[in-house]
Amino acid sequence: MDSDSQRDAFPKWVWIVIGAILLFCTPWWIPTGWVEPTVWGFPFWGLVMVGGFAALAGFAAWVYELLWNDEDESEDDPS
Amino acid sequence: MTELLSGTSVLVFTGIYLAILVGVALLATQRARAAGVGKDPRDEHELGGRSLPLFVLLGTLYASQYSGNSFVGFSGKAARDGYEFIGSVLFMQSVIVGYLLYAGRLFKLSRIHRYRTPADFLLHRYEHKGLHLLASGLMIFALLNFVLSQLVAIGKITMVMGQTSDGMPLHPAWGIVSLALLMVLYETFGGMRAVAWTDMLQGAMLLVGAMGLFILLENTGGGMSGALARFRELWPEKVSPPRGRDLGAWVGSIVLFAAGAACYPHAIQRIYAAGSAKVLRRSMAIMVFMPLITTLPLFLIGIYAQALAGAKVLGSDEAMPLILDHIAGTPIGSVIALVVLAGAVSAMMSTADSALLTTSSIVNRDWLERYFLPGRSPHFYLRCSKITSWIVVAGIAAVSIWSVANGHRIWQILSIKLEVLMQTAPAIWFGVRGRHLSGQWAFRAMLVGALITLLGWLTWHNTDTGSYILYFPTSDVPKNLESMRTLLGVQVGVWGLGANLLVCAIGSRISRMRAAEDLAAA
Repeated sequence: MDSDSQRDAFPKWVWIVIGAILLFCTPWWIPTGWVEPTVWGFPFWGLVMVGGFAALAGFAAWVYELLWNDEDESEDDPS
Repeated sequence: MTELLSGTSVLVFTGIYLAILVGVALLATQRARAAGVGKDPRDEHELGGRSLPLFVLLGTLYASQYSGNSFVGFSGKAARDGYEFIGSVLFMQSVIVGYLLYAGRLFKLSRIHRYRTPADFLLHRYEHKGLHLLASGLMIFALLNFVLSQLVAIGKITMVMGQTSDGMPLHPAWGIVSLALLMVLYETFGGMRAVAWTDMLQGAMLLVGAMGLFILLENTGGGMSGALARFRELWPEKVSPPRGRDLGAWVGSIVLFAAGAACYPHAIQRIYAAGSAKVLRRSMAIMVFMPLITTLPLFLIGIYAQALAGAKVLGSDEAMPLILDHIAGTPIGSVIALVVLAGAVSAMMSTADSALLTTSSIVNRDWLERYFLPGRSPHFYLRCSKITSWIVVAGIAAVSIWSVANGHRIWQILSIKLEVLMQTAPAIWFGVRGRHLSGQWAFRAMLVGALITLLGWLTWHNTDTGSYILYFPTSDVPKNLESMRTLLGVQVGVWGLGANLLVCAIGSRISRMRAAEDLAAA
């Protein structure tokens, strides 16, 4: 199981990038004054967070699509 | 809202919707029968023949992940907490990031070893009965809680929406019994395939409801930006980024969702049920975007509701009814309101039916087949599985009716589910990655995590005397008691998970050292 599971594991840098995005998406670093300017009524820090969420979605989807190892999938794809 | 909901239009709409649901379930049942010929009937009933295609898998993953609470409760919590609740989008995304830790590998193993339940994998990997029983017990506890909380929500919505001919609120039993009966019927006849197909329809209602409401509000009065500006004027303290304990809760929630919600037993069964690895990974790749088009609109709708309510602080279940009342004045608004209500009920049903199927699956596979009634035919276990579903639904429906009708708060303690469930995660993560961690150490780790979580939930600090007591709240908690459910803002289950992981790491290290010593001695 070990060698097989290593082949299925994602490279370490994937977890480093995910950790970095999660750190960015946690507003510990955002100054309290970042409420202004507002965009479409939305506080600026909220918009920064939504940008981070979109980046996380994009990166995770990319990992699923391109780094997920399903080479030895033998069954037909019903989709 | 009463006027909107007591009209003929509601009855007609509900009738059409339920008829379509029954039609979809019947189609799925036919398909299940055709596909199940000559195969193990349990594989077909519990996992849809391990052949769910992309849109069915995506629909069922989506619908079972978003419960009734996410639909009604998210907007309510956004109204109450303000912008710090924008983190809910990230928390829901964390679930899909959590799957990266184990889903691909577990899918492959499930194809080789034909797992049917999550505990099936744990028993095969660790060969430890204590761990198997503990994990399946924690999962059953969480699943029953899922079914109960959804039926309670259906009961509450029945009382709020429905009216008798003399203007009295409808008894919750009407909604609970009719929808529970519908769920258990389509599950009995069509199994996973019927559940997944109806989930797909229910997921579509949920998505259309949330998006439709958001678009309508954007085009009503001053639009969303006007409401957000008004919220800022009225509640400036709720617009700032979170600080202190609230930041702790934010971090804790990321872990809670990545470990707990990503290990929902019914979600793990959907991993087994995927038609192929490609179908599974593509579903996940799409699912990670869903919070941006579901949770984010629901969050903004909550902010809109609080701006609409003005200086009055909204209760957590008041935001959505207020919004529906607000839009129901126009024909298009009434239609959207009906779709939203159907979406809310759909969210409740889709979570409950998935949890119900997995409950009966675990009871049969992990308990009856292995310990209590071993060695019978697959058809016998299939019958047991169906009977289990009926018994569980009857029992939980009775408890739900009793608690909603009498206003009891028995489910308060049951909101512990995610924190308990996440204690099964380390055994799964370590289990798919290597062979070093032994069953004994995985069992100890899970037990330590579960005990810390349970003790944290039941321990209260008496602020008058400074003492700590074990207390099970069945009514309003006295003001001098402070819950120990969080430490530095972080949920106690997350601390339990930390201890759980630490024990796993120590156990893994010790096993590795012993293996090296044995090798050297040999």
